[in-house]
Amino acid sequence: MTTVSNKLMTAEELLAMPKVDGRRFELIRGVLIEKMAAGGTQGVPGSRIDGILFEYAENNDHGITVSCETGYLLERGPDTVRVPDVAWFAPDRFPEGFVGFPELVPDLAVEVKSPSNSWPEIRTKAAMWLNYGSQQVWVADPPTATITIFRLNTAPVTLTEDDILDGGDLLPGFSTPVWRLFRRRR
Amino acid sequence: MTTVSNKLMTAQELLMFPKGDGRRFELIRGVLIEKMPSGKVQGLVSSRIDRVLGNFAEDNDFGDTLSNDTGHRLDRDPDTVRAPDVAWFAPGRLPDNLTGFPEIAPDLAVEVKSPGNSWPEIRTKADMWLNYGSQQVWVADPPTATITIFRLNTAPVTLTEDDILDGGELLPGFSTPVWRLFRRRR
Repeated sequence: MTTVSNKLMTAEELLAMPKVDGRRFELIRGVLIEKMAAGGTQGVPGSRIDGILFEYAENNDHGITVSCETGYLLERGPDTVRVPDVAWFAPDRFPEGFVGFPELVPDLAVEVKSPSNSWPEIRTKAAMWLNYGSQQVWVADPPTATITIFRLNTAPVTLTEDDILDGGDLLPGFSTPVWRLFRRRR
Repeated sequence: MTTVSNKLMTAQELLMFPKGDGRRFELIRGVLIEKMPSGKVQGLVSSRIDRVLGNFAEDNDFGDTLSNDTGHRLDRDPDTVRAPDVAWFAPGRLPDNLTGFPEIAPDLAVEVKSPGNSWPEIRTKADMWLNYGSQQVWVADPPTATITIFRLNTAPVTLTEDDILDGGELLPGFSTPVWRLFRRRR
């Protein structure tokens, strides 16, 4: 029989939890939820998008990317801590020398859809980031090599390999063909 | 130390799970999550909305309402089962001989915001229903006696006590002043 624990976990307890075997966790209203390990098709675009955003931030001295499975504390009492695949913060938004889970959300959160995520589920996760304050969410779907851009209260826009992903007001000067987010060369 | 279970629960196991002490559970990606019991005010408003919608369905022979924290199985492998406070299904959408959890989202899901829910959290829950196929979500907020209507990819609309909540194309002929969802008389 499945037992039901009454004990909710806090963000501090999650932070202090020993890392085991590369397993990754999030906290939803005090309940520990395991993030599935990414497969190869998710890891490559995840890394490429992180790298391309890093390069943009570095070259333009405009914002920073944060990786390493950083958790963001979205709610307190019970605590909710969620982890995007890639995060970018606009200039001055990410506090320097911060210890613990930042109590803010990335201006741009990127999620790489895995085969075990349904579209309604990943759309809900995008909506979550937007509802907590992210300005844009990009969802990369490796099998179709598409990027879907979510903004609050707006129909999402899907770009395919030959389209240009333009940073617009959020990432001024940022521009890349979509295929580069998925592979080195055509 | 917090132990981490590897065992995910299925919708079928949740259905067979003994009801203990009125505790109510949902399943998010196979993880059992307890729903907090409603306070008096949430219960009252939920009951009124259920009744007003139920009367509309009954009087017009148009659709069905489900209450009692009926679970809706939204995703499989791992299973996700969520329960709205009130659900309304359009005619013909709910199979007659259904046993177990409906495997579709209600056409209209109603959530009564509790003091323990933040607005970003409840907006994300509304977006969840919409992404899984609900046409509208109504969020009732007892302290302000407002109803906020969510539609996919659209800015939500908030109605106050003196406004008329009109069913539009979803609930043709349905119309009520908002205050009636919160109290018997003015």
